[in-house]
Amino acid sequence: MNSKILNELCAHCAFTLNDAEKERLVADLKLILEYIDQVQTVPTDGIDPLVHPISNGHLRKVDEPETSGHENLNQTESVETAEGFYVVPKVIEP
Amino acid sequence: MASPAAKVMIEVDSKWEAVIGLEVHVQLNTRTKLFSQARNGDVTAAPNQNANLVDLAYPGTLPVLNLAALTHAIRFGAAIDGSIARVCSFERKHYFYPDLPKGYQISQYSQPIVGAGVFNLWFEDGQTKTVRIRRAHLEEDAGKSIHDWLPDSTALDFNRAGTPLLEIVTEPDLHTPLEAAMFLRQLHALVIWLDLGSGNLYEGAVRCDANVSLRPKGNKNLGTACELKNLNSFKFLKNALRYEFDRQVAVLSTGASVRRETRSYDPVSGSTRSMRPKEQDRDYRYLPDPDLPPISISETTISEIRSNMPELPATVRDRFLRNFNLTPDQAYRLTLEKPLAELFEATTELCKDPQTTANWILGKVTAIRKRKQSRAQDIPISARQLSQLIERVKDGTLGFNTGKELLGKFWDTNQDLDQIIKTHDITQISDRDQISRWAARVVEENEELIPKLINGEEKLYEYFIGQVMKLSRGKANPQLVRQALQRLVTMEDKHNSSENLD
Amino acid sequence: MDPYQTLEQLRQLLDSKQITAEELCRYFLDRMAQFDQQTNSFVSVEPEQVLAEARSADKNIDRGINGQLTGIPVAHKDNFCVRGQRTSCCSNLLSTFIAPYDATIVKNISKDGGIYFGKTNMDEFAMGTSNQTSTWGPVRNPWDLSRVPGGSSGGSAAAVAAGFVPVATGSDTGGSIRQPASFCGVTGFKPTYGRLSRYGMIAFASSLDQAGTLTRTAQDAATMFQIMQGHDPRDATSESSSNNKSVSVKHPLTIGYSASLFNDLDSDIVARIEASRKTLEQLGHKFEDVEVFDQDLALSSYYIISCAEASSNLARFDGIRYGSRTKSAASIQELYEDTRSQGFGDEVKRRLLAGTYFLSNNSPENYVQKAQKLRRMVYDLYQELFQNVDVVLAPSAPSTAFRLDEQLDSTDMYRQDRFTVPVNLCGLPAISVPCGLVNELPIGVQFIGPQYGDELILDLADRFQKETSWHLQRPKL
Repeated sequence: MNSKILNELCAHCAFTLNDAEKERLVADLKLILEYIDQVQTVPTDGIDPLVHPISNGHLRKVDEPETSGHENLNQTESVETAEGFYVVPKVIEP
Repeated sequence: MASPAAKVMIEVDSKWEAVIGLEVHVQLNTRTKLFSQARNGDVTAAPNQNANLVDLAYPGTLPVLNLAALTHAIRFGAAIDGSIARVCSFERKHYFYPDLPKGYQISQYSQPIVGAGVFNLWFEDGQTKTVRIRRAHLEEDAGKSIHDWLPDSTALDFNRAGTPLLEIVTEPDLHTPLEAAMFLRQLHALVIWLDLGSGNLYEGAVRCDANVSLRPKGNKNLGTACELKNLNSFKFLKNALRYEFDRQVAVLSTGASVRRETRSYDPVSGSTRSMRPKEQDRDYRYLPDPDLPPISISETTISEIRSNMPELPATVRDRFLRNFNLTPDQAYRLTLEKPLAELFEATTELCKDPQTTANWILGKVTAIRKRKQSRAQDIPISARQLSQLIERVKDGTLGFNTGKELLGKFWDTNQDLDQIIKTHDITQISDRDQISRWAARVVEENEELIPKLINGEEKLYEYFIGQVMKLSRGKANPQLVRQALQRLVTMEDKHNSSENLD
Repeated sequence: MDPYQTLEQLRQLLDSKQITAEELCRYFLDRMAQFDQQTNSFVSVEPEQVLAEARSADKNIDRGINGQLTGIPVAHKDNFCVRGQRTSCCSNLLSTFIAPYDATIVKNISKDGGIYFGKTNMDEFAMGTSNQTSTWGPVRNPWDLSRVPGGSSGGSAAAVAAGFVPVATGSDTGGSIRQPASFCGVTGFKPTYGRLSRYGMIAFASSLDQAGTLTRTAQDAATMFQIMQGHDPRDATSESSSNNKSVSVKHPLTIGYSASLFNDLDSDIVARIEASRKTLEQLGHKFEDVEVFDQDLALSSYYIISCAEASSNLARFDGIRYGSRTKSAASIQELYEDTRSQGFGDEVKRRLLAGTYFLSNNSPENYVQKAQKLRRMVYDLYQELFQNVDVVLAPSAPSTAFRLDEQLDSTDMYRQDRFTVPVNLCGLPAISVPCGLVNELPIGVQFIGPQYGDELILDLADRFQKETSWHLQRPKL
């Protein structure tokens, strides 16, 4: 863990840190990783990863639109809209 | 007509061979979305009216898989003889973009619902080519960003967010732009045949990306590929690949190497341009979706879906070739769309004349349909109407041209043919005396042209026939008109000769 | 009026018309208004709405239309969506978010007649063990205002302990119900994963998150559990109601016990747990030594998985469709960064960074998969263990409530969870019940059941509470 990696992580997380925060977090994360890294000492070859405590999810069998929907509630919390669209600063296409 | 194989030969550069793989996104036509119960596929809805709390990623909301979408995917898998996963699982693919509400897309990464399968590409001359399908997986579509409406802002419409997509990935088995375009066309046809999606290219219901690299002919190694994005019509795909082929040949010929990158195609200039380095380098941080524990798919479910599959186009094509003595091209064109194949078969059943039926369907029916921009399932002609028409033309009740015109009438009404014939008084007139009288009148009115006619100017004959048809208001049997005219002209000729002798 | 009454007692008071729902709610509102400045356990309460609901409950009681909760106030942790109410997860990012819908368990409680009383304080996005990371300020433990109530359901635990409400909901991702229950001397129940819907509970780590309750007694927990449960078609992990897998209740039980768990605990705490064991033996239960999974490994696995899932779950907070957008940003990048930099607190950022690291190509090892393999090992071990024993007994927390000003570094703070996280990794049910006071601070003991053994451990806890009086102890406010 170093400040270069931290910067990349911040970019992935879409937030920024000031220099003091960065310094503190690099130290924190180093400490955490030191503790966490003990997992690497355990042999786990051939073990099937458990991604979920229940083995089988369920699905939706009804393929009918819900009419008592939330259509008109959609934008009550929205920050900026125009004629039914949500609006954000212009995105420059790559 | 030159065979496609011959066309292919023309396109292949003597030194280089293109290696093309496609990724095709198909929007599925389920009534609700992949993970929410909002209405799916209504392109006319006002912005954000079909985006519910789940689609908008409201805090606390959760995805639940729509069985109908899973069934669609399995049906596609069955159609390409692909392996069907016994467990359906999803991963999250992370990136920030304003039209991606959750900050990740739910997709299938490690275990696609459909594994390796095959697609038999068909050429008009009856040749086939096997294109291997690597995988097909389910994922959700994003919302739509509108960049050119507001001056400084991007507008977002999340109606499309959560629309089920089936992403179909081929092996790099395609080698020419034409092959690639034919593959997309036939895959597109299959999607509609199976009723998996609308297939509406204009609305983005089928979207295609192509990976293309070049290698020296005879070489087995793969070159560096570029990914061409959003080639959303058969023509765009073909033209973009042609441009890209030339571009890469130019690069490679100088001894330079092709850069691994994503390129976009501009249909106006017909060229491709670099967008960004290839996405492989992006870190999507895939994570098995903890909101969607794996769902096991039972053998019973799969066999039930298999047993409900319609007869596939390839099977129907083979049957048509075997039973009806059609040309490969006719069989191919009749089986691109299910309603057309069904109309053909049902009509043939009634009129017992497959060749004439094929000609009618591929000729006039197709022409009117194109003009009216009808989808195949909306062709209003029933097999009974078409077979009646064929029979009436055959027995001479109707002229061929009147028959063609009648098709247009069928399009708008749903009347019985004999009824239309009666009410519109359009039975062909074959009364020789009446026709002779009309012909005599036309000859009389155009006396000055007769010498030319005698000299056998065919164009002038057409003109005379046309004039007679006009007098008969189109109902005269054109064969008989010609005969009558010929008789009159011969008489005139004799008359003139005898005068000259004097 | 005694504020420390069970649901059964309150039901009796209401049904016999000794008190109206309005009077009851007014009483709790007044008590809260009087004392909650000290504890800060609530982050939003609308007294007029509470009383209006209470009045309509009184009409229902008069007409004899009664649920078990009709007229009884229930508080919800601030990560449960309540329609029309601010639901902030105690984060600055959601500080203006008004939920447009009810979480399924909120709906189930109000369908039974429960009165929505208010939102309780919590660690921001449920990440914490001390309730100090809330954007609305820390909660103080009613037993000692210089101490934390535990976390992340610290507000719910403190509110029940202080007698502001008889019951409150909570959520438990790694111990967030059981540890504060232990610190505050209340009963904290975390059901089997999937038995209570997660729909409307703002996610921290989806494969670990489980709703539950903080109550005065195990019997109240059982009542609440019965009301809150039921298949929810909006949650793909919600247990189907058709296949009843419940482990049948029986008595006496074989209880697993691992001496290795107590190695680094205070002798006073060990003494209280030993005493609980004696009580249970007197009730006829047999004890058997069992080996449990290495705590630090399980904790590491938990940390990796929970942070990875959190970094993903919290990606939706981009300021575009809801929540706080701080100012008008000049670019989309600025919009994201302003919203998230100002919206998230330190602990959340720390975990998001860690989680992103575990998932990214930056990390040299595949942390997440390694953690999931360890998770499998923990899971298998508990499966095997429950072949031999019916229930496992464990401490709920390694200490009593610590002081607000105590400086714990991150890993020490995380190690607070070491007795509780294996339960979440395996999706097991567990309940923490008060088992004594150490230096006048409560401490709890934890009963862990096999998957779907919810009724089994509730019954065990109820029998334990019939023999003990620790759950009846009250803080002095």
